[in-house]
Amino acid sequence: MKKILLIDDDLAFSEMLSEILKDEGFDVLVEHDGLRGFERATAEHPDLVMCDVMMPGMSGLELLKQLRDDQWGSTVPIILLTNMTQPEAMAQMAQGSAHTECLLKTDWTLDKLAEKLKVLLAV
Amino acid sequence: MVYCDYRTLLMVYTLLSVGVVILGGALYLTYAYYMQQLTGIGADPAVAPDIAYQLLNQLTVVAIVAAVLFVLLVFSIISTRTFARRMAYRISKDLSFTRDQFRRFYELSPVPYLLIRPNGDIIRPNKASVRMFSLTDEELLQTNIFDLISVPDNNEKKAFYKESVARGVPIEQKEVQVKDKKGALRWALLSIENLEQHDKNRQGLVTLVDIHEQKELERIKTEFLSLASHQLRAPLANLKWYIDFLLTRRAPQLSEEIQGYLLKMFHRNEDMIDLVNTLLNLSRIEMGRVQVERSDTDVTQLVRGIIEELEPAARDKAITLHTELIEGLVFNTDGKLVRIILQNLLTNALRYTPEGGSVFVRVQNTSHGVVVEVQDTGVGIPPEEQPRIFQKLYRASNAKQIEVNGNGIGLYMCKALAEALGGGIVFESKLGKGTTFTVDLPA
Repeated sequence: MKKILLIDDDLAFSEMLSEILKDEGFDVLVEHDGLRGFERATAEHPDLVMCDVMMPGMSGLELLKQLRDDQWGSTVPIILLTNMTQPEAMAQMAQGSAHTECLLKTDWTLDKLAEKLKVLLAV
Repeated sequence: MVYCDYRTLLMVYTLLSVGVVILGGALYLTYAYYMQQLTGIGADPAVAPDIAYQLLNQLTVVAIVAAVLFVLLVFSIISTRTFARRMAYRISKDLSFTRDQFRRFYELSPVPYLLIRPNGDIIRPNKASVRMFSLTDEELLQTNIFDLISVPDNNEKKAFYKESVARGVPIEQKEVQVKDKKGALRWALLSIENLEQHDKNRQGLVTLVDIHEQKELERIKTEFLSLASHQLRAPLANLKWYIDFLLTRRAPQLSEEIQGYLLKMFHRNEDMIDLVNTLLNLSRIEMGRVQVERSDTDVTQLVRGIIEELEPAARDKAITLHTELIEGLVFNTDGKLVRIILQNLLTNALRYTPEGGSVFVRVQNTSHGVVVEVQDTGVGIPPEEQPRIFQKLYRASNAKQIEVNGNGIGLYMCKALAEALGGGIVFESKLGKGTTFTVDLPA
């Protein structure tokens, strides 16, 4: 079973997404703080990391940067979650590094997410 | 007595004078003419009295007219003089706006005034300024005005103002923050006027208009923006995902009725998300924060995407969507902004076109970029309302009747965004026939 680490300070959203991901057949770990999310990622080496952009502790972009600098984290697929209306900047940043996607919370659908997960996890 | 304008009186006076001169001349000529006649016929005793009588008659008429004009002339001169006297009196009253009165006016004005030296030292604060800084007169007299004001995020500006004052250059309505005794900051509009022309003893008049409330409102608006973006969008996103999950992953367990309701919920939720996005975009425009991020954009694909989204709405109203596109037309623009513009124009076209109508979308390549036309066979815009159609919150009267729920933001936003992209938007409309919007998008 593929392991996904979900990091988001929005409790309602992370609860919802973890339920849905579990239903999709993934093993889901949840953190609500950027710094702890980073520690958990480097400790447990999940198959994919989904993280919010605006978070206490460490922002999603900072976390992305730190993970990419890490030997293990350099290739782990990461999906940035954002609530912003102008995702272009995020998308560009995500494009800048391989295995990175940017998900707009209000724009994406479950089918689209499932498809992306399939591609990123190569299942 | 009615006092008319001084200039009118002068004109009447001149006209009357000219009239009297002309009449006097006519009188003399008539007299000379008859005298000549009388002497010419050798003063026939039978004819002379008759002629003399006629002459007398005419002279009388002319004399009466002249008399009337003369009276009018005298009257106008008198009234002009009275008027002039009154004016003079009033002016003398104005001059009697004494130093004492002026001092009280300065002291008691609700607007904070301060007289300063060219270096900014305060020499005369008024009561309102004492209140504004909550310092005493004595304290203010030992202070430099530039120690009391600050320009957030830009201290160079303060130095610049200081230098302007030293050189005697006036400062007009600049936003600054003033600090009171307790260190509390208030927003104010700073103006510094140069009072004396001579360098010696030159004084500046500082005016500080309190705009703290306005700035507070602006701040609240910005906060609302962030509230709307996070507190509103987050739950909407949550709802969207749950409904999507139920519809796509639990459909077999749900009756058709429940699925139908869920679908409605999904769409209403999408409407809400759209509305929140619109409000966010609007706030960004209002605050001048539209970020244009250009990249190579396939306009044709973009238009197709929007049309695909709107097709169900068009089908519901049996409206035919015609497109004239250019395959693979790629140019450098901000796709996201262009999308918002075209989405709005097409949604409007569908909304205000009656059933069975047509909507055309034409994409044309020009030397400097791309022109997109959105034409409909809709209700049109009433000619007298056309100049206001791009105003914020304005909705045409016929549009309001058709769709109660519009917000009057769409076209305002389209124009602002088209302009942010360096282009523009124009339209042509005939009431009852339809409207064509043309968006010019330079590369």
